[in-house]
Amino acid sequence: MTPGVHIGVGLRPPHYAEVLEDPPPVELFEVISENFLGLRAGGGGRPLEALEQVRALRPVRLHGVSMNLGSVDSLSETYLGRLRSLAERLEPECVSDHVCWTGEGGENLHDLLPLPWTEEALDHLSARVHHAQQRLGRRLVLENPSSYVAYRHSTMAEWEFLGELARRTGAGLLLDVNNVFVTARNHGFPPERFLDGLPPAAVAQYHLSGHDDSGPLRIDTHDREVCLEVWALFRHAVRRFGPRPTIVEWDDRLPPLSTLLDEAHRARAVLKETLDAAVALAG
Amino acid sequence: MPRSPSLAELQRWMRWALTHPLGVARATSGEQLARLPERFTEPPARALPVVAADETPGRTAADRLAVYGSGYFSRLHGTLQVEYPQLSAALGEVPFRELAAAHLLRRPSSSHSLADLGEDLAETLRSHPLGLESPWLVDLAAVERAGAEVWLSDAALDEGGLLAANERWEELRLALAPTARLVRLAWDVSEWSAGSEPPPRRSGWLLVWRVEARTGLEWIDDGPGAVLEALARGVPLAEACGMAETLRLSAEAVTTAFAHWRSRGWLLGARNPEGFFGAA
Repeated sequence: MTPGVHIGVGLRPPHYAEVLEDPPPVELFEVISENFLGLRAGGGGRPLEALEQVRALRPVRLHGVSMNLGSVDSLSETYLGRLRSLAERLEPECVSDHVCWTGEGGENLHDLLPLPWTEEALDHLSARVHHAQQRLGRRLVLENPSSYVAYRHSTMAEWEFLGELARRTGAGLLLDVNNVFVTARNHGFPPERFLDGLPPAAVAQYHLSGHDDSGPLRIDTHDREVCLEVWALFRHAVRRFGPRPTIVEWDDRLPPLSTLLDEAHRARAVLKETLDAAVALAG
Repeated sequence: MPRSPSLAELQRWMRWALTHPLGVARATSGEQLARLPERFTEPPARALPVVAADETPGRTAADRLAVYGSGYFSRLHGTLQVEYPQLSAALGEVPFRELAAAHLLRRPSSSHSLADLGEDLAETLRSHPLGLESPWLVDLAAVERAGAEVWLSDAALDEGGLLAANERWEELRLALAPTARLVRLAWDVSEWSAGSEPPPRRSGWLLVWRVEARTGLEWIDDGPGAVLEALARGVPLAEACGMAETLRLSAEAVTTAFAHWRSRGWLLGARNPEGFFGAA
């Protein structure tokens, strides 16, 4: 392990037993918040019992997918209340969600749907991030999702929107490097431009994952290793923003834990090499 | 140039397009579609023109929206498949997809959690041609759902003892543990596995339980099961005993069953009319 470099993996249920039996050499774990909020009636059930055992070993980060921050529906106070209770119980390093909407009209599509990058959306989202932060009693960290759709009536670039959102709300940015790459390819701009447009102080965490490049659009599948181009973009991010807690995510076609740990090991090596090179250059 | 949609108009239209049962391509093609429930009538503010696209095959506006549209169905179908492996195996791939589609139409997700999606799949199945043809599948679905629910429910400490000092046994009320579910069955699906013949008709109850990471099923015959169900509903003990008598259960059988349920932790401590665990 390298001082100042915090690497972890997204922990999914099939790997719990192995992690508890033989804790792997990572500094932290990230879990999907909704998996520990139980059913409509509340409670966290067996998944939360197991997560509390993991929490006794390592810090955890709560990463949500259903806060629905960008929706025109009211924010769910029940959801926020439950998330707050979960955070009080687990004392996570951070609570994050996405810059997106997930449902409308009371219906949850369970997807990270893209917003238009407009002043209307920015005002709307900023007010809701403020409210959620107040309700949770903590700073939120917000991730850029992958997108397949962009809107002609957007008036700013995504990175400008994110930077301004962070400035207005004080929220941190969870920079998903794979998502930047997927979005850039799908909408035809250089991914480095996205990174170069973000305010460095707002970037609080990195995500890395794999995507499907077999069709006309890149699809964020979280079902394979991080590709070479995303590793290169990660180097670019580390040079620009410095080290940040970094999580490797894998959700579909989940491999053995050792494969995720190999990816985490590679992330650590890339971070260290890039930082060493920067130090050498400065010296 | 048409005016830009507001955020509300955009999201309403997107939801319509992405959840349309005929798929994004047909929903947005402008063709006259078959009669569908009112929520699938296209919203007046059409947002398709604001979706940026190029003419490369596979990158048109409809293609881009279809990534989300197909993701919507496959994600929710996949969630149901994970929660209902036995039902999925019993039905086979294509019929299970039909059932999932019918369930999404009847009961689209309104919860933050995908774990609530399968909440009453058994009810969808009950009135679906697949369930009408093979009614035992409804029982199988109910048991699988009970398994998911006990897994996701918190264990409760049995801290009530049995009787508070100021209570009379006749008034004693009990509660079913949150990690236990009692399912009424017309078919004995408790030992059914994929590839087997349909299970025999057998009326009774199945107790689905969890203790830490262990889960299990226990068959309970009609009479004792009805008494347990009454107790779980909060019926006072004297009333439950009266019920047992009406059902012609012997005192010994009732005592044995009661001790068993208590020892397994399925029935939790005393609850007086003022509330749970009403120890003095």
